[in-house]
Amino acid sequence: MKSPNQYQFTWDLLGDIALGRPNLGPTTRLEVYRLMQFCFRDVLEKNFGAKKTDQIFYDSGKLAGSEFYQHILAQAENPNQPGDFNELIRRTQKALSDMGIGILRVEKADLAAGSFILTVSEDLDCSGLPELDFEICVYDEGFIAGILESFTGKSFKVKEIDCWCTGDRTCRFSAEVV
Amino acid sequence: MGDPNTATPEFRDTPQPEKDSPPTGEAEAIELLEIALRQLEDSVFAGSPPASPPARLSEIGSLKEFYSSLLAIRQFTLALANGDLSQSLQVKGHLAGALKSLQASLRHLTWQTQRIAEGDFSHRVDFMGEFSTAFNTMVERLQETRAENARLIEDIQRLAITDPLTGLFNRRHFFNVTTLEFERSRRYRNPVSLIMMDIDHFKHVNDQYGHTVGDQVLRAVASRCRETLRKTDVLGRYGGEEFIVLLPETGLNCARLVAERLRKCIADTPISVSDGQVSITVSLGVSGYSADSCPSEATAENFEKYINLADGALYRAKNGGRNQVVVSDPPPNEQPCLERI
Repeated sequence: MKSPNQYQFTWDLLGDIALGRPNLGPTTRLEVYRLMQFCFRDVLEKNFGAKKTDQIFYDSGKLAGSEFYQHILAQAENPNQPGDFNELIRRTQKALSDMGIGILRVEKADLAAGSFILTVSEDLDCSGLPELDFEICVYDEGFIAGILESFTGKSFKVKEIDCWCTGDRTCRFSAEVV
Repeated sequence: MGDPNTATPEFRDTPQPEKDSPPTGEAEAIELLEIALRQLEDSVFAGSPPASPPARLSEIGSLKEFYSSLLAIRQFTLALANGDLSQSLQVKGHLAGALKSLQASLRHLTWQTQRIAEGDFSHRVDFMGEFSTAFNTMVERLQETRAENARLIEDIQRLAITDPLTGLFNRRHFFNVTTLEFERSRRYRNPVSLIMMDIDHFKHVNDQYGHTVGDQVLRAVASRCRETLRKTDVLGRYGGEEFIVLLPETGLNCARLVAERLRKCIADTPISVSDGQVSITVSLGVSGYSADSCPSEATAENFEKYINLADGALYRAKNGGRNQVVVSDPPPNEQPCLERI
């Protein structure tokens, strides 16, 4: 059946990078990523307002987190430790570090209550940005929610508490089961 | 540093005061500034800073806010210094950010340490400079020590239950295991049999070839028995050149066949030793019980009774010329053996 979206996301859309970029390879400059992200943000805000843009970024991050879990993290799951949260963290830390996305750390993890506090340092979105008066990593909030929801099967609300853009050196996120 | 060209217009227009005597407005401003500075200094350095700026400065909103931020940072810093990682700091900016970053690192370190305490030694610290190196070395050593301890415990446990020469269960552990099996057989009224096996003229082997060869023979006999028996059968070294086997869910007729198979596998093939080959034989005595002869209790005494029966049969096998199997008196209505042939 034909998708209602012209570009409904599938992992295949990322393409065969080895084939397509035999000389330049899979990496690019971070500025390019930020250029795209903040230009998107600018145009979206102008068209839909800040609140709606935040929602779009959160939802996009969540979709990305879910796909990232399915295609990267779940693939690397240790068959001897299925469903082990600490193992998930280890895999996620490694994947985020290997791919230059950020340095993930856990401050608190209450599995029974579904309550977590995570930090991401040197992240893609905000580290090194000028100080603003508001947290900016909405996409990351969604990304974390997508991973946690895919792993636990429960819905999560992720909120950035501290951000580079508000003067912090690391971005801190709370994640709560809803 | 002051630059006369960039002096505030407000002060440039005021009449020039006499030396060391600033104009009233300027003097007041300086006085207020000094009060403000002392106040800010107190907020950082004093043991017990006031909760708010003096009333005279309370109208300056930005000062009040700054003072409040400094107090919050001070409180947060003291909490960090005291190891309290639970505080939150609402102040934004580089200094507060650096402190919160330290707090985040320490919280993550706490979480990592908790995981290590649970036995997950994969955690490494990479954000605390020299401490990281020391911590990571400690975790690696801890992991090595724990692995070494686990190996030692495993060795000790193995040594406690096995005979070091043959690797078979020692007599004590054989009894521990078989008493449970005996109890299980009694409860479910399944037959169970025992075989006592002794190497014939083993003293001659030791005398003729030496104890080293004698040990090789014992190991070879243990190995052949292990290969011949089922995984569920329990094999132990009873002492010296004597072995014992418990055959769960096996009646006497089957046990006799198993014993015969053991006898043949040892008698038919000479044992290779360092000096050549040694031919030996074994004598075997078999005992057992079926549901009909099941004892009322699985006591050690009752179990010993069946060992004595097997031992008696072994004695008769020895007296009957060795290299043979003798079965103790079979219970009535024993079914012919089908399942183990």
